[in-house]
Order: sequence, then structure tokens, then C-alpha cells
Amino acid sequence: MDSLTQRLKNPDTRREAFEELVKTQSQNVYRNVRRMVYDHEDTNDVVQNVFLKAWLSLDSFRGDAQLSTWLYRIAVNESLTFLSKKKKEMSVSVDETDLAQTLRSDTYFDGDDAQAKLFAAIATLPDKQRVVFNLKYFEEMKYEEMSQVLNTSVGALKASYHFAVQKIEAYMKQHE
Amino acid sequence: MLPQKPDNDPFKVPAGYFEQLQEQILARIDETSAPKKKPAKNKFVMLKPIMRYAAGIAASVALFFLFTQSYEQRVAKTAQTQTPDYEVSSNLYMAGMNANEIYEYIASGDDSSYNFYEEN
Repeated sequence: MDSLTQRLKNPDTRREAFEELVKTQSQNVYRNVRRMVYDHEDTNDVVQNVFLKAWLSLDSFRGDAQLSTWLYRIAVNESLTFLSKKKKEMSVSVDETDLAQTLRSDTYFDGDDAQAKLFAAIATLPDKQRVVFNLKYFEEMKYEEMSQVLNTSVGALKASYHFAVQKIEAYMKQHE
Repeated sequence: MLPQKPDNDPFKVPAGYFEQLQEQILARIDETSAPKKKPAKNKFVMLKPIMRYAAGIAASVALFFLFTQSYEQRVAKTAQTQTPDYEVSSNLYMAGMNANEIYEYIASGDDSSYNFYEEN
């Protein structure tokens, strides 16, 4: 158990240690959530909820996994919950082509057309497969760690990533 | 082929956003005051055996007083109905006992057979 985890476990140092956790991890958490929900305002809400959930469940963190892995897990769950709620609220699904267009016109997106197309392609993946793809492709997370975050076997994750790549390649080819 | 991973993160944030985000998160945490504990329930669960013991002791004390009181009441009632010594001696004299026999009998305290108030 590292020093920060120990301080988080101690009620006397918990608040101060958590402030440190927020400062060191908020950008990582934001980046991961943003790749799932895309919109900045939505990401802002989800990230705040992630840290609030983390704070409220500190007692249940046993320290077996790394703090960052634990936070990833909460971030993934919160993102999936948000996307599920959003899908229920929206009667019509957003077309991927529209999404690429939306991204290009977004003030807080400065990627080129190829990047906008890539994120539109990623958006076509089922939510859980999207998580697998993002963690592997962008974060370059090892399957073993990913297995801890997603509570899924390494074999299943490898297969999921393989199919995700195939789908994205097919999308990119189709939209050349 | 899968496009190469972008060198820069294309998702941007407003200037000073992360400082503001950290403040917002910490403010929300302070609002909740402390991590959600289950102690409210746990304390009750912990108190349960203590409460059980306390209830057991209270019941024992109540039974003790009830028993003691009823015993004292019985003694008091017996005392109220006990035949006075002079009546006992008078009756024994009438029954043909001499003074020594009467004294010994009264000193032994067994006057149950002369409890006229109870039996007559």
C-alpha cells in the first residue's frame, strides 16, 4: 500500500490526501471520460461524480489495486451509466456522420478531419467495446490491468479489441 | 488500416478549467462532510447485544423485586394474622399444658396450629 493510499485510509489525513489525489488524477480521469462522452459539459459532470463516488467509497477501497486503476473503474462505470441514461433520454440516435460534423464545429475540439472521423468511428462501437478500445489504443493499458479495471478476462479483452479495430477500419474505409 | 494514434489530445478545455474543476470537486466533497459511513446501522448492530444484555439484567432485577416484594408481603400478611403470644399461652393452658411446656412451645416459634385468625 503506497503512502497516498495509507493517508487516504487514515481519517486524520484523508481530506488532505484526497485533495492530492484530485490534483494528480483529475486530468487523467477527465481525458478518459471525455473520450467516452465527447461533450465537455457532460464530461465535467461525470468527472465530478467520479471523484464524489471515490470519496464516498474510500472505506471500500482495500488497496489491492492501484489508486489509478480503482479510479479508472469508477470513471468507466460512471461514463457507461451516463451514456445509458443519455440514450434513454434521446429518442433518435445520433448519426455518426453528424457526430464527426459536431466534433469539427466544437470549440473544444481541435483535431483534424481524420481525427473527427476516427472518433465518429469509435462512437459506433458498443459502449463496453469502446472502453476496451480507448484504454488499449489511447492509454496503451496492458490487458492485465485492463482486466482489473473491467473485471473481464484477458482473452475476452483481446478478442473485443480485435473486433473493435476491425469495425473501425471498416468504417474508415467506408467513409474515405 | 487503423489510423496512427494522435500525438496531441484533440479534446481541449477552457483556460484554467482544471484548477476550477479541482475546487468544484473539493467543495462538493466538503458539502458531504465525510465519507459515507454505514456506522449509523453498524452502531445499532453493535448496540444490539448490549441492549439484549441490558434487557436481560432489567428483567432479572424486575423479577427479583417482584419475588422479594411478594415474599415480604406474605411475611407481613402472616405477621398481621399471627396469633398474639398471650392468646397462644391461654389456649395451651386451657389444653392442659404446664407453664414450662407452654414457654418452650412459644420459644420454638411454631404456632401454626394456633393460628386461629387464619383457620377460624
